Amino acid sequence: MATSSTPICYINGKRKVLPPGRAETTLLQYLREIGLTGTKLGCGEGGCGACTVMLSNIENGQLQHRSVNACLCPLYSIDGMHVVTVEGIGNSRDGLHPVQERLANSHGSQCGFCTPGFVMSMYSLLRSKAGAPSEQEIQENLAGNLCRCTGYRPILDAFRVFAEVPAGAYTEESIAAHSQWKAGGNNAVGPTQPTGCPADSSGTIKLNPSKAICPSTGRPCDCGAASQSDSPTSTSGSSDDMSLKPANSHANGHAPAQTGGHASMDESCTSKACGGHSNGEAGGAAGGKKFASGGLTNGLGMDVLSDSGVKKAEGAAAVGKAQPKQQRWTSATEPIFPAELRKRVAPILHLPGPYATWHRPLTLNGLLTLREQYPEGKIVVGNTEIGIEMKYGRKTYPIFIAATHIPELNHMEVDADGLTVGAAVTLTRLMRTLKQLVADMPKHQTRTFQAMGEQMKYFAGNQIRNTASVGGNICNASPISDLNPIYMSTGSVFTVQGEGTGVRKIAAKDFFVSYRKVDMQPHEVLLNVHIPFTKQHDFVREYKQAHRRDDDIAIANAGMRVRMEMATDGEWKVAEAEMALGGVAPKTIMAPLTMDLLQGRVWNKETLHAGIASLAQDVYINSQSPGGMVEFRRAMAASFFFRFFMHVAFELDAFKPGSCNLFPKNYRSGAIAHPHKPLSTGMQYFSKVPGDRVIGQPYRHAAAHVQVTGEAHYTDDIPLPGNALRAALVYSDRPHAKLLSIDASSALEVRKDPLS
Amino acid sequence: VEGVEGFFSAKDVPGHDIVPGTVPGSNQMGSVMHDEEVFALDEVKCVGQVIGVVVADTEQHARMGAQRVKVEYEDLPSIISCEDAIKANSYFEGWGHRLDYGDVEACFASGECDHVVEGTARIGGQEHFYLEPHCSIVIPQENDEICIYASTQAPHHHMETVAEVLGIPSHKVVCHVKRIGGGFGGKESRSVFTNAAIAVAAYQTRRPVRLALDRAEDMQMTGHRHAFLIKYKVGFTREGKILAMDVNLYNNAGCSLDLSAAVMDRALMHCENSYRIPNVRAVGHVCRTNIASNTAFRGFGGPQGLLGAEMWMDHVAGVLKRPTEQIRELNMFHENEETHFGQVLDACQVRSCWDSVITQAQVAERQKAIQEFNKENRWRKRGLAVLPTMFGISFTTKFLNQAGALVHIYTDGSVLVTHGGVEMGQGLHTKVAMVAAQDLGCSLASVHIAETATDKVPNSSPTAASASSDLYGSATADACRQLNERLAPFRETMPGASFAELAKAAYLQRVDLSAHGFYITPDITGFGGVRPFNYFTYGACCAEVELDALNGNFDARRVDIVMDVGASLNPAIDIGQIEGGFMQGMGWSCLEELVWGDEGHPWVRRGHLQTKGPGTYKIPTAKDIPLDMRVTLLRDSPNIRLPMVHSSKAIGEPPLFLGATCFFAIKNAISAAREDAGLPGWFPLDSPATPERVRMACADDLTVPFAPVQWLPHISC
Repeated sequence: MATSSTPICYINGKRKVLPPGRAETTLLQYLREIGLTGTKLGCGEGGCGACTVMLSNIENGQLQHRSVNACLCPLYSIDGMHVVTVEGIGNSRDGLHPVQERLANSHGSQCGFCTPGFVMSMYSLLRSKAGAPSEQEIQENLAGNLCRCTGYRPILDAFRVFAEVPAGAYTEESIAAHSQWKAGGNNAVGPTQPTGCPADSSGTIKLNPSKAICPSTGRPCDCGAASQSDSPTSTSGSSDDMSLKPANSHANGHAPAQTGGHASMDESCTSKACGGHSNGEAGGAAGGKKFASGGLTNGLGMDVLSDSGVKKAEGAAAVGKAQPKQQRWTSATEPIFPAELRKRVAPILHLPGPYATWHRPLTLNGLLTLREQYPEGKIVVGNTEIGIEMKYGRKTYPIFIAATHIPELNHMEVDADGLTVGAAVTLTRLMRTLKQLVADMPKHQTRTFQAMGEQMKYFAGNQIRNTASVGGNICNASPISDLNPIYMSTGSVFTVQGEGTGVRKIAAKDFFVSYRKVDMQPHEVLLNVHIPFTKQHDFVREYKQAHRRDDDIAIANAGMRVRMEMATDGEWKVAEAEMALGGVAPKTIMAPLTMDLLQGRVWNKETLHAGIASLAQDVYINSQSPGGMVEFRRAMAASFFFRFFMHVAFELDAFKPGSCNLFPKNYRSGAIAHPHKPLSTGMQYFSKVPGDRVIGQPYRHAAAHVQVTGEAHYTDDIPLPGNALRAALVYSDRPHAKLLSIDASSALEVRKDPLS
Repeated sequence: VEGVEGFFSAKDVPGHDIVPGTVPGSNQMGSVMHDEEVFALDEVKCVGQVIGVVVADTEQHARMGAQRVKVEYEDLPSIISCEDAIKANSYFEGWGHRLDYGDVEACFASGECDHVVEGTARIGGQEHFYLEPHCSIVIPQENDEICIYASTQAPHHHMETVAEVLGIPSHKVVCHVKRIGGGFGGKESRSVFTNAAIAVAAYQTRRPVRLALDRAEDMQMTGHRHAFLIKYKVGFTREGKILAMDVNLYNNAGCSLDLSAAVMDRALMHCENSYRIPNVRAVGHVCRTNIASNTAFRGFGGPQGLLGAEMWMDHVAGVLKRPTEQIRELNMFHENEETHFGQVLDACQVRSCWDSVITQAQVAERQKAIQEFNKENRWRKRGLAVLPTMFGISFTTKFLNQAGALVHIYTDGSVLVTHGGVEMGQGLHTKVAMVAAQDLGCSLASVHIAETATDKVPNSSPTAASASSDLYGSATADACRQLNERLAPFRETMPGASFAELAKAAYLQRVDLSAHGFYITPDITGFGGVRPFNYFTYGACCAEVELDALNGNFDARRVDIVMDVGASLNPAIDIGQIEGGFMQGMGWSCLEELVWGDEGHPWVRRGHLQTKGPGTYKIPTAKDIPLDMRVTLLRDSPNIRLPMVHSSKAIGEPPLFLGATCFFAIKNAISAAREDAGLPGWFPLDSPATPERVRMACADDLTVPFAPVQWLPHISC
């Protein structure tokens, strides 16, 4: 195998040889250095999404596209990949990409600093999917992007048109039903029952082919532009040769019909191509009327309404003043995957530098050898933990060993007992596989997978899940890892291997030794994790409580599993019980007292109370512990247990009615951790002014078109003169103190060695 | 370290050894009072205070160099929270003002009050979390000219400070701002100190210097929304009429005065919200502590005062066992009533907004449905609340209410407008360009605004206090009026001519096609007078939430907002401000928590901020927004009484407080859970209503073993 010291990549279709000696550099730093300042630095820890770019590469012979946080992405990890940034998909001179144009016209960009990240998250989602995403997927996809200005509604409105929407979702009846449900209606046990909302009971709706979806509003109308929208025949997701297709079919796959619809609107919006929907004034009135009949009057009797940002925006476009003339977007602007990279065989990388060295082995043996050689080296896949350690812990690591290219570590396999997942498999890949298995296999076998799949939606943001690995999450041994509790409570097994010492299998529940310490020797690496299938009457749940529901680290979490059996007296007894708790100790712990207590007991109120009491014994937290919130963490452990108890009871009672009737009906919704949540919608009502007035028209932000393309300059985007210096502050780390001395001599002394 | 070119500290400030304040140069700086140092000289007063600056060829080398600078300290006792400050009697003396209206003591003594409630409200701070961290570039040029590019809401303040620090006249310093990636008040006064620090380095090295804070630095050192501690005593009749309010407001100002006194002034003026109260005593205490200086944040003390008012209002209703909405409505202002600072309300729209939102949101029907739901669900609870708001528009420091604009017409008919306001996403440039296009009678496309710069429009106030479209729109209108006067003869003689043809013709006749416009807000008094505000922006909000009583999570099921913006200049932009402001207010009151190393957080290093990035400090995401959000601009409400630009009203700050409607909806949902747990009656809840506070307030058999019912989770305040 070839060893290379010249990593290459493509950026927006242009070949780049990456500079030498920069193993500690991130992709974001590099992009901004070479002038691609559309990608922003918002936080440097993968938490805000302003640096989102799309990476494309060949994986198992397949072209993959995914969004990542460039601020955490090590520069050399993109060897062999195509990086697409916000500048790569459209610009104000040659034409905006439909994603950019939608966001600009829907008032989805105020200060604009988060905007390129939103654009690239949406763009990557469209390219990574074979068909159009659902509205739900779009909303979930954006949890890793923060915006502080808009309140998100206009962003979601902007992107809604890219979703594949069952036409039934927008019939008058369904809108009315939906609004009634939202308004509280009569269906009191509401949150778990999307009653009367056909849009939510997917698959059961018969689409009405006569009612096409208007590309500008996402609602039924008879405008010509809509004719393409109903059944996109997409080929774009996994193939990259989009630019070879005619613009229309490309647009279809990419952004069902909106491209066509939208472009025509900008050119001839007042030509009524979209009837009432595209024209702000008429659209407002038509929309209002329609919604009035749909039950969504605002109670004020206002005659001019705008039911969404979409409409407002196009109202502005219709008026046509001050909106920069947009070129029709053509597929010529779409970056394609370079042929060179398609053919390229990945080389072994050995890239030394003054501060760090990057190793990328291609075989397991290569990895094990490097591991033995550099026990202090950091094995990286997504760098989503180490990158943050380097930032916050101000740690420097001299050796990186990329484990991304080891076939054994990227392997997933189903055997008779369960699923084996390679340690370098990304969380996104794992989620996809779990979803598939849950769909394909008998329900009782996949209870663990269901629980994991449900929980992983709340595991970081999409950009992180796209690069973070299963093994990295395990080996970091965070006491609040969202997955470790479930491995520990479901009998999962970790396999590790070391040069010369062979393979060892370790039960997950024994793997975590102390704070961020695991049962692995310095020369060993984690190969895979085996997650067993569940059996009949196994119940598995993972609970997590964070400060914020999405994209947050847990305050406390738990993995709980029981295997129930019906005794001869008709009572349900516990055959096996395993409980793991996170966030209550320096490592994820088991709850041995509670597990012992449950063993063999009948699932009844006495057991519940005894269990809660014993869990309080299992969970003792020192009041000085990092993270604090001791009372809350302990109360949450008890609450998790209670919810789990209810869940199992209701399931058992449903399996055999009357067999476990422990709780009244009004407890039922309490057993559900994640009740169905409808999509967010919004309406805005304002008074119309005469069309000849400038004042009072809903014009979009004057710089929207450059903000969505990354062309807008912020202070840090201004090119610096060649002799410019960069500054870093020295600041106090004491709240109140006398300054005795300041000594800068060691900073001023020229030394090349890395910091200790 | 390789690439390091220098280290600069207090001794490098030009003229550091001369008496402070005398030219040349000064290490002293500050917004209102010069109580800050560019570089700490012999004492540090907070974590994050700048001691020095390292410059190098790359940011990596500069940061490595900065880490290698060794600083020796001798620790002194520190004060972190308002309560620490109260104990130590540590205030900015003379800066905490008071408002007296009627006679509070006499009212309490008269026996007219059937009930008196007392309590303490704690309101945590808030990080701005503009997506773009602070950044500035200083480029020294010939003859001591200094060119600055900065991410700031206050270019004039940057210019002024850098000139003072370097000891050069203001006319040699130019600060440019194209746009900033969000400000929210966080770049009003706290962007300048980092800029001053690198100005010294640039001056000494004679080379351009760029500084960008990373997110953690930015959050630790550039200040937040003030945390408030509010002690209240309120007397009222059995019918619910509020007769007397006696409040003491404490805000955590941090280690320098900055804008904290003005923030307190606004809190004092908003602490009765929209309610008529005949006897008021409101006393402000500006606490001096050892944290980074807290600063402006959208609302500028207003939201804290308003939230305090609603916290005691909730307490009053709890005592009376009546729906809070009834008590709110009973006490709400009518036309021509007087506030506790003596301003008479004309064109008062608070009741119009209130009535509209109650109708639009079908409050009565939904309250019934909520009761049903709560009966049928033990562990999921719904709650609904309606809040009014009014927000005074004008800087309460009178002299700041002035604005300039410069309008050029070129011979091709294109128009360049420059004004003193900064574009930070709020759409100011869009609105001002619309005013110019409307008034000049040209197309919007022909109007451009390129940047804000101190050499184009001098002496401009910070872009703040929501008033910038009023101020700069009016200044631009003034310039357009002058230009129209000059163009009038050509319009008369050239009917049907395009704007470009008019411009060309005027140019050939040697007409000046450039005009400077100026505007001052009329008839205002500043704080302390009876007309501190030019007018008020009103609004009301109804929010319904559903709570998971087992973990404290909530969803906002539906939110209705009715806002009075006068005749909107641009409804899309105004709605954007309302929605964004609402979400920021919801984040402030329901989600975002700053954790400081203080008495209650012994596991955090004292004086350090624990929540220094998006990983630990959680602002709302796209999945936290209301499931159904309806925003209405109050119709037929032009701001006619006032000569405001095209009868519009300011909108930036007023909607933020409405996010707190979710706080009270959550509180109502918690009440339902507590009733099921056998705990009827009023209970306190501090802000923000995070899952921890909410879950523990639900106080059932699963929490009580770990904390008593009355226990309140600690908040950094």
